[in-house]
Amino acid sequence: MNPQNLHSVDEELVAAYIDGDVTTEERQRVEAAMATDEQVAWEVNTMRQTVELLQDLPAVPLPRSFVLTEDQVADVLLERRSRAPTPAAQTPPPQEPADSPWQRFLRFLNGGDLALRNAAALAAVLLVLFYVAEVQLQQNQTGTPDGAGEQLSQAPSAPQAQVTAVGGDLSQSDGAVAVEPSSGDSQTADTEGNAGQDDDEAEFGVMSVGEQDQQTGDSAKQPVAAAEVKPESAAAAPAASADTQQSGSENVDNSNQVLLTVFRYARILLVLAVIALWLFSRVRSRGSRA
Amino acid sequence: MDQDKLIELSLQGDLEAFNQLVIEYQGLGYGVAYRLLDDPDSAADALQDSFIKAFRALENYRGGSFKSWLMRIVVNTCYDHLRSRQRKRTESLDDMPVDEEYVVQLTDRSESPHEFAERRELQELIISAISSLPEVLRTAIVLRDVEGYAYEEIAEITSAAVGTVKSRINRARGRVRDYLGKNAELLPSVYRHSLK
Repeated sequence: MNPQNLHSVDEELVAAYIDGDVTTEERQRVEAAMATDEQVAWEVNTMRQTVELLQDLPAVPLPRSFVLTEDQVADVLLERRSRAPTPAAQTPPPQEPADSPWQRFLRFLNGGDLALRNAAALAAVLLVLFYVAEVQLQQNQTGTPDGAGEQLSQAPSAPQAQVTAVGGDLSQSDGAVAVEPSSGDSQTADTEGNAGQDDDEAEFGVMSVGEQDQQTGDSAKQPVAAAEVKPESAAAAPAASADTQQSGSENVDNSNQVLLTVFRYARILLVLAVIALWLFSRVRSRGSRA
Repeated sequence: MDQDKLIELSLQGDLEAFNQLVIEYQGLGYGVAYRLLDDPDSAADALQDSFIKAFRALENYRGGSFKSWLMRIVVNTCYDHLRSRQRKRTESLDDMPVDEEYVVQLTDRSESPHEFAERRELQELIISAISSLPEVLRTAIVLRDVEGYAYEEIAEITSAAVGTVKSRINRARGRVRDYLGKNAELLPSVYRHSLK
């Protein structure tokens, strides 16, 4: 095998031999040619040296980064992104555990615009306060029997007349009401003691001051007569004292009525405000999300 | 991330995914472009164009070696640059711009300034020998002997048969050897006599 022949026929084999990419049989073939032909040996050896020099070239340092920017491929990006399936469709999100109704309710309440929601909450608090005040006022105005009794038994004079009137009324209706005398009624208690423990007397145990004076005079001698007089005087005395109180209580009643009306309207307005503010907060929050 | 996944994401318009591929292959691509064009600026331009072309042509990638597919684009883009430029090298080897970083990398503290100068001259001679080759032979020898690609990869990159690749490589080596032999005084003494 001469070099010309090797070059023209087996140049692929020489390259493969230098790179060590030959079979045993091919390697033996090339080495046999090198052993018999000096020119072939020179050819192969100089090729190998050339390869060594080429392989010794240093790697070239990278002058900069070649990452692409959006501007460089904007048109292709736009096209591909418009074609690409949405991330949601591509990979369905992992199923979250279902919320409890309470959690859903809380999330529903917590939704909406924060400022308006706070305003609605403030209106709701005011609504509750107005309602409580209105109920309190109504209770004061109408008054329960027990409550009135407690109040009056502790009061000094004017409320006492009211209680007498109430006691008189009740005694007329069923004759079974026994109202405990207050500490200010010691005179009455004495009178009762002097008059004896009659059931009829007990019925009228609480009386007005005028009535007690009258009774004190008669009680020692005519207990039964005193008992007969009591209902009449019980009816007459409150009427007298009520005259002075009626105008005052009417004024109080009127002002209470006005207050109650104001509270009622305020309550309606506040209910409307709570609903409107809350709805508006939801609408505004939805609008900002959109 | 898996290369196929990055390609799939790139096809959906995910530029970040494609840039991960760019980062992985930019070193290899620049080495080839630099050796083929023998000019750092032209090599950088060609490589940037190559990545843009690759991103645009990603739909045409039909599997197989992505590296080979990408390098084929790099090689073809370098050919385009060579042809469009139609440049004639007027600079002498001494006038060639030298990148400072490149010089630093070449510096070996154990060698004397004289040895460093000799080594640099030798490298410039080899580069010049490569540049003297026709495109196909230059591509074959750069990919095989400088960048270390396998025959099969070079065949895929250059769209040629493996036999053709081997033949081109052998011819390219022969021409480089002859070029070096004409400038044997610049060669190390080990090679000086044998290559003459």
